[in-house]
Amino acid sequence: MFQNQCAGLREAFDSLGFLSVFYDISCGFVILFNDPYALAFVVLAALVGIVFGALPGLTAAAAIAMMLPILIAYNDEIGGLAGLAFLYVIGKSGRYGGSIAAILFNTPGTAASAATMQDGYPMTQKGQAGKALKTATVASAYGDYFGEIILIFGAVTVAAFTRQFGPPENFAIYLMAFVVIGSVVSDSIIKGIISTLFGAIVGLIGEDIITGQFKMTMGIDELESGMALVPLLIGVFVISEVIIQAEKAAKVKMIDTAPQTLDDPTAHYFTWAEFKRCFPLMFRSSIYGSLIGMMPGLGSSVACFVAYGEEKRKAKNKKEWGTGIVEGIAAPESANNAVSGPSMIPLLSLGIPGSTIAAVLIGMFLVNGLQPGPTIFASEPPLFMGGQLISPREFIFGVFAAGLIGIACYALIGYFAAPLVGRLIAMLPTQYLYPFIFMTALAASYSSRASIWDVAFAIFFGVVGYAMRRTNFSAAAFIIAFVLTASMEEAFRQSMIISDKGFFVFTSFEYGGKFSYAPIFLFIGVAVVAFRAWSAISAKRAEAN
Amino acid sequence: MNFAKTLVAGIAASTMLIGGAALADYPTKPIKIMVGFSAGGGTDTTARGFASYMHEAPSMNGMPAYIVNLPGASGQKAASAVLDEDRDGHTLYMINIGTFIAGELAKGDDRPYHIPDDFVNLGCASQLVTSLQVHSSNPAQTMQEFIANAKASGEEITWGTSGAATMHATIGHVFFDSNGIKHKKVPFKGGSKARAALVSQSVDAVFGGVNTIPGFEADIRALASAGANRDPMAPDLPTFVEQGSPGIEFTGLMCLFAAKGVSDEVKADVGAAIETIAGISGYQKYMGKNDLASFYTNAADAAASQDVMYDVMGPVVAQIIANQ
Repeated sequence: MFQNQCAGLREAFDSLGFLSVFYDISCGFVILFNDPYALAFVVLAALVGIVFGALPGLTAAAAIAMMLPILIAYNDEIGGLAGLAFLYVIGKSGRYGGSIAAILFNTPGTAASAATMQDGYPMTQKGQAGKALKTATVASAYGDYFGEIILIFGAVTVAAFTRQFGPPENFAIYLMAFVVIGSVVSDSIIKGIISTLFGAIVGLIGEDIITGQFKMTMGIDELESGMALVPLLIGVFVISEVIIQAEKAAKVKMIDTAPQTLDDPTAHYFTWAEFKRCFPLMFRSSIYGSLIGMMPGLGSSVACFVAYGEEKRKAKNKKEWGTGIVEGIAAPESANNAVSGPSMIPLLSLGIPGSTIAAVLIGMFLVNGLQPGPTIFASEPPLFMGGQLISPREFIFGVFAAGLIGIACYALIGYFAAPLVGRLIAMLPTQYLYPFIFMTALAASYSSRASIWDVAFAIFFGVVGYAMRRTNFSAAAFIIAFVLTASMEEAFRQSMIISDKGFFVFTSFEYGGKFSYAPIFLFIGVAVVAFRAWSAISAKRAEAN
Repeated sequence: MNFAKTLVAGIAASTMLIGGAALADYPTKPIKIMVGFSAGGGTDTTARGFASYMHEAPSMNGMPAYIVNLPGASGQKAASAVLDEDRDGHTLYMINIGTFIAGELAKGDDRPYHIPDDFVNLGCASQLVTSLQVHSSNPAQTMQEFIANAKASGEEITWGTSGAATMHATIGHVFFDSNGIKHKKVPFKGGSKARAALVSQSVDAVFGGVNTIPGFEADIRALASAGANRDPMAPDLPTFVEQGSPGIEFTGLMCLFAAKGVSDEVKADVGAAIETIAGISGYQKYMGKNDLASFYTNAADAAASQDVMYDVMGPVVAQIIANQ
């Protein structure tokens, strides 16, 4: 350990044993508050995320994709914690920001807030927009804090367990993630699987880990180290959205209704009585969100519908759901934000991103010399930040502390200024906004590696992303599969070398004289697909009857 | 702040250029140091530490250095980019010579360059030391015990390393082949992943940098290190040679290269800067915290070390390629 700001704390917490997580998070706060850039970027991220999330069609992932090259370029100047905290908090505030568009304009700002529309917009129509927005703010912050606490207490424990995993277990987890994403993320299992396979094919481009030969590079030098994530993300999430908005602008005005207002003061507030009523529901929804967040590949969009559906099913007033009640906002909003923290657990403990945002965060971890994976909390060397040496564990808890502060920031901004953000967005001239976003997206694509090819890739994947969205293929499945493929292939090839059993290494409970968890993960994957297929068939039969 | 330094140096550089040719001693602008790997690895760590002290070397006219990461093809993409730049000494390349040579050899006849013909070694400020590592539960306490146990078991030893044909991989092949042990190599994408495989006991051993061990002493035991002498950062770890396994007397000196054709002034100024920086206590402390030694090796000694590595690694890498 090193002499840094946390040295005093370390002595105070030394005797706490397994409760050392309290030391970790306290140290995280000390590091964060000693880094003025990081604090400033947390506040900025809360604001930027809300605005991007609230812009119809643009997601937190889009904001992150465009910011990433800039943050990487200035990583040394602003410090690693500032950049990572910025992206992490944007993920949170962006998920929340989506609810503003869902409630005010009946268009989901992000896929994560699609379920919120069902009760959010009817409340706006009834003149209760203020109440709806404040409910969304409280529920989002509640769910986010819930998920963050799970992350803080769970990440180190899970990482300690996953230290036992070798290539066969890793491959089984990747495969499980693939089939689960493919079968759950889209309305159609077939389309989900095709989206996943497409992402996998693009992910296979580049240098072969075992032989060093190049695959599918088509003679383009830029592809030798694989397709870059930034132009891909910008294409799929930003440029495709710009095309869709261009289409819309040609047909109708994007946002045309100003929220009504009522004289009744309770129409503008999420009352204490309502909070008490929603508390158990938000608690349950946060559990759904956290569990879904921990599953690699599933994200907020799945969580919000699961929570909405489950709570509606449990509710005594089922018929009122969808007519504009606070429960219909509290459930999906607490669930989609509860995803944020736990989705970092597979990233930190296995190196597997649980969401598109987590996929981008990998790049930022690497820039700071950290390889996400089971040994991240134990690993050295130390990082040189703000003139001091801090351990990777202290650094990561600094990011967690930034998450906790970031939630408070977006909750405060959202509670008091969400209607203002809504009004501003309604006033934005789309004919200027989306061309500006398009140009920024192209500049961001170029700046990530100073390559004109990356601009071409971004445009190409913009068209691909547009086609996927128009035909209901899943862009999220495509991206996650792309990110996972190279590591999955690596784990597969390594497993084949390590074991003499061939493919059976994945179904055997033993390899190299040690217990293997691989069959358990494969079983979970198969069970999820079977359940999903069975549900789809049952639904079709019910429809036919 | 680095940005401010760069700005001031940039203004200073442009003023000097405007001032006239009389002031145009090398360097006249900030130095770009290319790194062929992602940020965060051993090479990048060394390069960043080194660059942050560049302006303090008197021979550098107060000019700072900055890092450009251009990962791909085991560092060859960045090396090729250096060859494409003006040969005025303002673009340099940092890499450890073991990886540099192994990368070239691994390409066989398709190699994009031949280091002695296309690059000039300007001197070195650190080194990467390969070690034989086993899991702490392994009964072997010494290299000889490991060899004896491996031979007695008659089983194939599965070992991990940070890439298919890196310096660590080459040394692993030399070790197992020269000791007559049956073995199977499992390449990983980077040293930290190879280390994770050893921690999870998915492989029997790892050939990786000594600098990857700190923080994992409870899980990993190092049995031997490469080099003619012990690594100053791990003085208690005996070398392969000491324990009776010859042929691994070299380490991966971390050196600065320029494209062939740079002036003698560039060679002398950068060489002097490397010597100065290697002696700066702040640099030494930074490197020490990263478990990397900081010491100066002059260009002539580095070039001689390069020749030795070609001799040792050439046949081994050719064999690896032939087996693929």
